[in-house]
Amino acid sequence: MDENIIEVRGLKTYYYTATKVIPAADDVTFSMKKGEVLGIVGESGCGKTTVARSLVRLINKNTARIEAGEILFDNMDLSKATPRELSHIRGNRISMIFQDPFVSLSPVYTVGNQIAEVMRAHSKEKIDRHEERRIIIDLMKKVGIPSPEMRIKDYPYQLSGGMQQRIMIAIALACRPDILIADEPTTALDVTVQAQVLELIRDLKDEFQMSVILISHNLGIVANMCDRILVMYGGAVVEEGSCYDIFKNPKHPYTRGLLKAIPSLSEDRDELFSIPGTVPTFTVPVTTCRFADRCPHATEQCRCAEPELRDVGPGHKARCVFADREWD
Amino acid sequence: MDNREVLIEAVNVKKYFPVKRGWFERGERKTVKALDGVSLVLYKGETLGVIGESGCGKSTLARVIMQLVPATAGEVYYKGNKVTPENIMQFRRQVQMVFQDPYSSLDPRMSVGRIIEEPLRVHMKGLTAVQKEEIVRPVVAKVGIEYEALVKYPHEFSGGQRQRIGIARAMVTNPELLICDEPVSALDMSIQAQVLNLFKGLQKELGFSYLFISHDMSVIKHVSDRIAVMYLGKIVELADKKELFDNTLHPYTKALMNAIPVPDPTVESMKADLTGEPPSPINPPKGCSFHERCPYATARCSEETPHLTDMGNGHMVSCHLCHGAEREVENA
Repeated sequence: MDENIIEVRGLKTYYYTATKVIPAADDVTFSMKKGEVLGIVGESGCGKTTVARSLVRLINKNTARIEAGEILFDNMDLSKATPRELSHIRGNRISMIFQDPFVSLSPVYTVGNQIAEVMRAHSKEKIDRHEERRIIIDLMKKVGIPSPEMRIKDYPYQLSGGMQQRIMIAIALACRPDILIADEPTTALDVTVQAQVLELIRDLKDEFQMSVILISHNLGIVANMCDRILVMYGGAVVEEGSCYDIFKNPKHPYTRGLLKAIPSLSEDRDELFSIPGTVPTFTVPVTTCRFADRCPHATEQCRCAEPELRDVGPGHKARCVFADREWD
Repeated sequence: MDNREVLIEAVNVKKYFPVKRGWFERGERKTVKALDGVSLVLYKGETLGVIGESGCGKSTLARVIMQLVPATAGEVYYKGNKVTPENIMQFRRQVQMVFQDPYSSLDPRMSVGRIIEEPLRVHMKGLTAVQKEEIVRPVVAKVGIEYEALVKYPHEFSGGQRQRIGIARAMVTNPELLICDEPVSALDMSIQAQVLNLFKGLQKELGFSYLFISHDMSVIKHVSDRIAVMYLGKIVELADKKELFDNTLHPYTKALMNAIPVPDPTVESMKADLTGEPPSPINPPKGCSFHERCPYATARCSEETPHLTDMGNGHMVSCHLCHGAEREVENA
């Protein structure tokens, strides 16, 4: 249980535009244990999706490159794996579900066909048609699709958004992966359906003994789902810690600001705390604390060099020179 | 309570959209009942929040009130006068709209200054450039955009700033009511707080009323004085904010509140009380539209349609279980 299933060390993924180099993931280091749910939170453009996609090298070769770093999974460095090795891992040992199920599913194949496709691609011996059908129906049952015997012949457009996302989960789980990467899996869904889908992911995680990387911009979802959390800002991890530490004892001013900026259901405040300014885009090399321009506590020291991600407690790290200070 | 001035009154508003019929489909033409008999009152100076899941008709409600789409049935009154095609221009000067997507709601080929001035060109014809500047300058200052930046084009601004531009455009005719259709849902968390503060600040300073539409309960709770919960083209519950949260009556409202993920690991939240998804508004279920997903539904719920009834203190609810003596929905 204590063994790390995946270890990422110093991952750097940069995007190249005509004039700039953008550090979408800059020196990202983390590891994940078996059965753990790791949350990656941050605002749009903070690099959370880039990190997830880098793990399985699903990044556009023409615009982005993994500059440095190791992704250790099963005695292999995925950042240097050959395309053949990768295709054996993607969808099989590490699978991914995306934000919008309707664009992720092919409109011209039945959902049963699309679940079968993954199994055919990754199984060593040929599966008998009847056996295959039985497995697919069983999977569809597991992800909570009513009357799967009939639904197996449906096309994606015949299903609702929640059902489509369940099909995506079935596809992702078809090969019983070790790691499931869920990239904003419920952003396109309504709250009541979102609660159902997340509960499903939680149940299946235990049943399949998977580890889950959950990417979300919604702090509420991460608080409910995750064991450990990475908070990202401008391509860098600014805080890492247990779910309890992040929400109850946040050390980085960005995490603290973000938590205060969400309107609360339990108390009434006339004015919300807001982080001034907008999310900037950085270019290489970054020589200041990324949050300095928006931080209420920033000093000269913050603008001289980028702070290290350092320990501020057991299993709790923050990238802030003042992280030890007790604020208000 | 009733001595407050009524700004907008919608009476039994219905909006049915015809569904395209295939070549071979015969028989009755199907309709989507986007709004199926919605009545509500909006008082001067208040914020009425409208919450519901996608497809419940909340955006259609905004558009029908604005007369952007004609209602199939029902009337909208503004300060007691029926809104008709004859007085629509006057109405729209008093009631302006802020849209969801700050990227598609601003014309990319117009400078921001022209965008903000446009309502003046429509509603106050014949103003000189100097007069326009006199109106625009304080407005943009209030929303936090520099006057010098008005020569720029929308793509040069970030999402939060664009939403500020959208708000400034809605404000220049000095309206009484702003109808805001998901104005913060396209924005990042840290920017969302800035824009919500702006809305509240403007209300305090200028006394705007808002009809504020959102799918996010925490946003709705933050801005609203009263909240209307919509489900499948109908208002199922309407009450003062405090009353709605302290004494939730409708099972759908309860499930909606329980499903919200609370950003606190020590609080149990995000409970999946409901199974299934909202049924299609093309063929809504008979009786109470919520009965198929309702954990408390009885035989009566599938037969008889409940009506929005006042349970005291202006707390309106549309549920048989809450109406009769058989009030079994315990306050969990």
